[in-house]
Amino acid sequence: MDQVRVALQATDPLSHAGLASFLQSRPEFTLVPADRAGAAVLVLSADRLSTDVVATLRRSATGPGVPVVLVAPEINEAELLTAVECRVVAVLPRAAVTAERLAHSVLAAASGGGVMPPNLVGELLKHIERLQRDVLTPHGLTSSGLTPRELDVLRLMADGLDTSEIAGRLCYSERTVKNVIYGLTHRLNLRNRSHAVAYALRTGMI
Amino acid sequence: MSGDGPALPFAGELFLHLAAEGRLVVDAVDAEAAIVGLERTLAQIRARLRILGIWQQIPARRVGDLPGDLARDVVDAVFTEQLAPGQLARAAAELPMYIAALRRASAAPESGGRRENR
Repeated sequence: MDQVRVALQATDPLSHAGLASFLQSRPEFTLVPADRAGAAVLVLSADRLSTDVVATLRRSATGPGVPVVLVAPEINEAELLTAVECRVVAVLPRAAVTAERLAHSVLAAASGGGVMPPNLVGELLKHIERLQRDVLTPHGLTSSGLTPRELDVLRLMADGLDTSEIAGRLCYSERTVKNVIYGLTHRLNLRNRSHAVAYALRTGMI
Repeated sequence: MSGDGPALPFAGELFLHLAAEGRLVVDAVDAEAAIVGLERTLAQIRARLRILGIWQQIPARRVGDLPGDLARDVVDAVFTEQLAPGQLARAAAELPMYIAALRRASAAPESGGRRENR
């Protein structure tokens, strides 16, 4: 059986030593120098996707580019898209890396010809779903519940009353009214009172 | 306080690129389901943009004068644009790229493997 030539880069020596040990324990792999000449797969370990790490990935993706197995903590959606752009075909959470998992990912990367595996495609499909949801309901705003006190304040805001007038009408202190307004705008990620009123109108609550 | 969150990570061109290179291959059934969802969303986005365009041309805008369904549509459109200005227009430009990419990346379930660039 032909050995898979694997280049290994890590941002810290401990991770490098550990991953090298995993790879060298398997007869299917041979480690090649980090310049990756002739490598079939690059294993890159990083504690976060820093600018330097992304630059490394981009360099790796230029030219023919080899598939990359990224060992990193959980990455966010934007980082995933960057990683995919740079030929990352597997993302292994650092805390969950075992010799078996690493070997599986490296072999899949080597045999896949750069095609993304189903789990990564699944993540991209989830990105598409999230994107649509966020476009139609920015910041996750839905007709989620408001407290009766919030509704009372919103109704009076919609009638054009200011804080002191609302406080007088509801027998609250102005501070309480401000806290109610702050609480609901903060919780619902609204910008200001106008948004709060628009939200309440939109959801048919007032 | 601001309601502005981080900009949505639109990646239509990336998807097109991945599909063109044959790196993105999506099961045909999954691709079709995603395309149907995207087309539905795109239709909603275009409708909201049309409503916004008309609404902004009206001199005296009063939601209360509109019939119920239309009033709700107007409030939805205006509210979405208030919370994320420009996002509907951006989405209207990006979503067709996702759809084109998925059409290109769609593969019969049994095919698998890397596809030739077309």
